[in-house]
Amino acid sequence: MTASDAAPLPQHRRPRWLRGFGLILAVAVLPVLALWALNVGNAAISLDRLIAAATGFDASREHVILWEVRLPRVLAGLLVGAQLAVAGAIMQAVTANPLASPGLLGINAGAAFAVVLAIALAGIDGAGTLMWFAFLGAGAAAVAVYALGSAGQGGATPLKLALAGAVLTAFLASLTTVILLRDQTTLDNVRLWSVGSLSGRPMAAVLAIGPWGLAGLAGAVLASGPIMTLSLGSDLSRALGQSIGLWRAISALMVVLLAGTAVALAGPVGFVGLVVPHMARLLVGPDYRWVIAYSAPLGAGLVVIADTALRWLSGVDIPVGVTLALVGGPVFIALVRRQGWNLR
Amino acid sequence: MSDAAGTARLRAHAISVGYRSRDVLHDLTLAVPTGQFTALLGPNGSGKSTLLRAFAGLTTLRAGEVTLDGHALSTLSRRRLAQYLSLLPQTPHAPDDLAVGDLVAQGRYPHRRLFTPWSSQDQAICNDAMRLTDVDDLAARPLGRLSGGQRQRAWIAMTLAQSADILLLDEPTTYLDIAHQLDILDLLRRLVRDQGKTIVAVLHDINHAARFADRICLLKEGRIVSSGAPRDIIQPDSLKEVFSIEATILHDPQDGVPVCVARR
Repeated sequence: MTASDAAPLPQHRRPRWLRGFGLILAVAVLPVLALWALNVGNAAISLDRLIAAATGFDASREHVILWEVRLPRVLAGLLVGAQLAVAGAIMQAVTANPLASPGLLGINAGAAFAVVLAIALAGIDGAGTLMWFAFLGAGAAAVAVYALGSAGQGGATPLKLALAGAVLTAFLASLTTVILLRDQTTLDNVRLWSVGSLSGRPMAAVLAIGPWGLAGLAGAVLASGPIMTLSLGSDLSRALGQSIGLWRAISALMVVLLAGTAVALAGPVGFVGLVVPHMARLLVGPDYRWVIAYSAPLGAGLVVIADTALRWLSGVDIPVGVTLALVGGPVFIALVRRQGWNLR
Repeated sequence: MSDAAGTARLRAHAISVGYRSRDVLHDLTLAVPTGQFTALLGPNGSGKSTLLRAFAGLTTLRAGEVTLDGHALSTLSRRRLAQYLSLLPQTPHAPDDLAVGDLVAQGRYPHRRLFTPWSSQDQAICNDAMRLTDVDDLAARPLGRLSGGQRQRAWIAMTLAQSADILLLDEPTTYLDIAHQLDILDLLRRLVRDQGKTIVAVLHDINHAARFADRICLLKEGRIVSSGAPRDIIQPDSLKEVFSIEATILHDPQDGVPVCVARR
């Protein structure tokens, strides 16, 4: 039997062009969301004046607000959302665990604790330097949660990993609070950051951290094929010729890179990494190549909307981490009820 | 075993495998005859699945080595190994909403590099695999909406898409009703006859092994008790030794295939 004998096969349930088209649509919505977010604030800036500010900077108050306050905030929101969502998708694929996400498994808390420690004890500032502490904290937390969650019978079950993550998160959050309480005056900004906030990010921080985050996103998209194969389980992926040790290590490094940069920029923002991959899976099915690709724009959009919607409606500026926890809680419960996960 | 020694690409040389203090395979030597269907038979815990995993390079050996074309498996990369032999685990898992076509496409993994796009040749090989296993009409169907027999054929299609010469299957007929069991065994037979594949399968039905396999290998407590053509192996003495059963051996009046009637 030769290749030329192959009869045309029936198309997939969802045609491939639809998945591709949906992805283009999801990405295309982002600039529109960004323009809307740039417009929202104490002083609304109309579209033609946005364009004027983009083409000719005149150092007016309006232009300074746009370039120094609103643009970095929107860029940080897009980056952080995409990174946390993709990190969550990778974690869910590699651990075969629907509860895996940088927030729930303690990665965010580890990164945040390391950053606060560096600021409070060593007096380090500068986003580019703090990012390395975030990597360190994220990596240490990942190792600790995996070790805790694998202990005892049955190895690293989803429930045990989630419990280990919750324990570590609670422990590190209280340590972080202790540090913040001891040093009230200088750490106002840090306190806001420690609940997950996009406000007050200087453009310099976005420019210092952004490339690392983008590199992590590009790496995740490139590696999404092997990550899909890894999600089939260790026996099968090895039988298919995959070096699982290598790809697990690459996946872990990418999660640390993505979550670490996101936390360095915006603090431990929760729920994006948990909920967005599930939304993507509802849209495109279980193929992680598509889940990862969709998670990036969906996560970016969700964070920008969560950061902007309340200010737009009421003018109140609530940290995005708080908004997402308020919205994400019910969404998460709905997802659990819908899918009836077996967590043991 | 000497009759097959000249044409065996896959061989186990005096291998021992153990978990903690318990040895599962003891000093086991076996040559897998190329282009034939070998059935591994034995009671629970006799080491059949462990032997299959050792042939796939998925277990750590305490002693001895498994070789493919004279190269120890431990010296070959996983990717290279997967180009020559494919393994279907006993209870493989994939998401219920994964489409059959997408599952089968995973079989191309060892032949693709990180940045090579999906080629028309990849697709043609997958189509061939799905047609051989009669799941080509189900390519768009999610796994969760297949019958047990269809699902097993989809998994076999995935291992076929690997284009490996040697197929290792762990209890491919378990949990299937009798008609689907015969379907799968007939498919394996055809793969050997028409595609020149070498198949090693763990089976648990003595009569299925007698009818469909070219060779049977009886295992007990991690050792090979006997190995050879079905009519030489399916004998009251060896069945008593391996399975502790009293059996009468009849022969199918149509084709002379031995049939085991277990009395106790």
